[in-house]
Amino acid sequence: MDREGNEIDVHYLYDDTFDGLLTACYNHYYKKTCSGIFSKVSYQVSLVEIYEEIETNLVDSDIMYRTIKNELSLDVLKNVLHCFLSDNINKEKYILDYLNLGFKMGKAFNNYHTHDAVLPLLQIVKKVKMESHRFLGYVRFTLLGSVLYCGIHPSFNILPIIADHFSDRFKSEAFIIHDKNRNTAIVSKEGKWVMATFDKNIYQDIKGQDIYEELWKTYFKTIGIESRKNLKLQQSFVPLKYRNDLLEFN
Amino acid sequence: MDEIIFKKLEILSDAAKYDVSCSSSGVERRNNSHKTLGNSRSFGICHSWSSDGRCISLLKILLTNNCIYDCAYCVNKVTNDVHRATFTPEEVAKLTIEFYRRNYIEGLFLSSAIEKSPNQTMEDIYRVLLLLRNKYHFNGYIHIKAIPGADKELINNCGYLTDRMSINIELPTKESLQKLAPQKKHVNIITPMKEINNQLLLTADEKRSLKTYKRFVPAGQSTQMIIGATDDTDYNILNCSEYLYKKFNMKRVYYSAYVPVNENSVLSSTQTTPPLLREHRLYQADWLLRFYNFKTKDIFVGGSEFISTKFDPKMNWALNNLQHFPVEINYASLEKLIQIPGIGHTSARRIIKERKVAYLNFEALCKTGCVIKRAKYFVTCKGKYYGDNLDKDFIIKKYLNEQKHQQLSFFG
Repeated sequence: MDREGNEIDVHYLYDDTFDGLLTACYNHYYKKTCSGIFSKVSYQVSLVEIYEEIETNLVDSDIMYRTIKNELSLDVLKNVLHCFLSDNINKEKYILDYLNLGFKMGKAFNNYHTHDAVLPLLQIVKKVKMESHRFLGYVRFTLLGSVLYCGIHPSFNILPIIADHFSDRFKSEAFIIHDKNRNTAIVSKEGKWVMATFDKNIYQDIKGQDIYEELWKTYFKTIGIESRKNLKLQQSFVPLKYRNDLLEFN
Repeated sequence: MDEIIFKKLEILSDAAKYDVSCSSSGVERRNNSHKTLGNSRSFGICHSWSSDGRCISLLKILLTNNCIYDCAYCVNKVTNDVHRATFTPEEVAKLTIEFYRRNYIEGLFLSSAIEKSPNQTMEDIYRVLLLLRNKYHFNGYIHIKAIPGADKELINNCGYLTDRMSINIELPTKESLQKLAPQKKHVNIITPMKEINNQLLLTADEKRSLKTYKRFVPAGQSTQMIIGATDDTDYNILNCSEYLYKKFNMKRVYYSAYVPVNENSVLSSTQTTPPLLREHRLYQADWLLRFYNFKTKDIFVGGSEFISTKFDPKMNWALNNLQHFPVEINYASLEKLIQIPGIGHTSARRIIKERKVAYLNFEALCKTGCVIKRAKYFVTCKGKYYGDNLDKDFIIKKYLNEQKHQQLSFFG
């Protein structure tokens, strides 16, 4: 409160983790309402608003996690997570608007596809899902001894989404998928995976050793039908920004 | 040795590329053991796209392109002077595994020419399956061709190891098949389709009543037809598809615009381009048959036996059945909604969900993801019509005018 007794807008700052975001939401719903949640790193202090740094707390974030799941739905929780993994600068705002509407309207709010508090978030979610689906196909492993390694440059932080798929598929292998834009990687063996910071630069010196890489390129070249050639169509499926990491396009 | 395998891969993937099917969808199977490699996802995964814009999901190769048949449309026919090669089953298995490990592919699509006899070819394919499943513990997706004329037992055994089987019907009528592929018998193609379907029905029964059962061709069977090599009409083609879907529970019928590869008096010359737009329209009509409750007769209007190339089949149907329109989107049932041009299953479901919480106006309709430039002529929102005039000629004129500004880039 200020001197006249009016509610002052407060901003919550969190540490860029999902648990941090949920802790901030917990504070918003269970303690004191805030007018916005922002990343600690990129927050710009203004004269009008005051801010509060929220310390990430796993107990609180867990309560928030279960509240969203039980009172809204698992779908809503997934949408929040997917939106969080995007690189949109307003993602915290969209998430807060989305949840505010949810707790106001109840479960059915998620049907309100075209609502101003729902549609922007769903559009981001769609992009993140699209990219994570694409990378199920775009990952190209290179053999490093007996370990499979792949470096990728995704626009969004999709590693947590695709990890389960790959660790299930390659249970008999050990592999690393390295997000070079964020310097993180999933490391997996025998069906279990962890995500860790990773900033080694391995790829350069091992190119051109593997006969199957050459065979794959040969296959890729011959499988196209010349009289149906349609590079525009191809490009809509494989945008240029992804091609640097795709063996067959280099 | 290295050079030989490169040559073989080049020849045998080149020979297989005219086969359309490359889908890896329809089976969800997790990897339950630390020893096995691979899983299968029901939504299918594409790994790359070739220069013709078709997706690459499976390693699509022939076991051999040495063929005793002389089918007029086929690049591998015995009288053609092309390079010939044969993979050993071990080579195919090894190649699949190594590609799969590097996440290049979802699995294998194995087809073959008939080198000596149908049985011998089917046996070789069976050998590849055994190697992959038992020796290499491969748990990913496999699609094989069942060879017409091979023993029922043999085809059955393959069915327990593969995810999808297909037999190409090649052409929509017996007469066309007789003309272009006189050595292939219509009955030899239909019989194994029937048998696979019977086995699928039996397995479905087992699944219902038994605790454990052996999975048989879990992704179902599919087939493929060549478009534009004969003068069969679209009506013949779709009628044939409808029959196949109904009679054999086909998962998919693929259409392949004929790419002229041989100079032959009964075929179009190698100078002509493949009928891609026609192929595209057939797929659209096929979708209407399978997911939109359309019948073949709905797709053809005014006695024409060909699908209009100007409009997509649903738009064409709607234009000729304006008495069903406009539809009020706030009250119409799902069946009615999906009949509207520009509205598909996804947007129809969205509309229905949103109706539970709010009325939809035109602005909201625009945000549901439907194609508003088509849908606007056929709907009302809260009773208001936004297409100016519900008249066939008027709509055609206005729609085509708006189309002009954004020419079809798909077939450029």
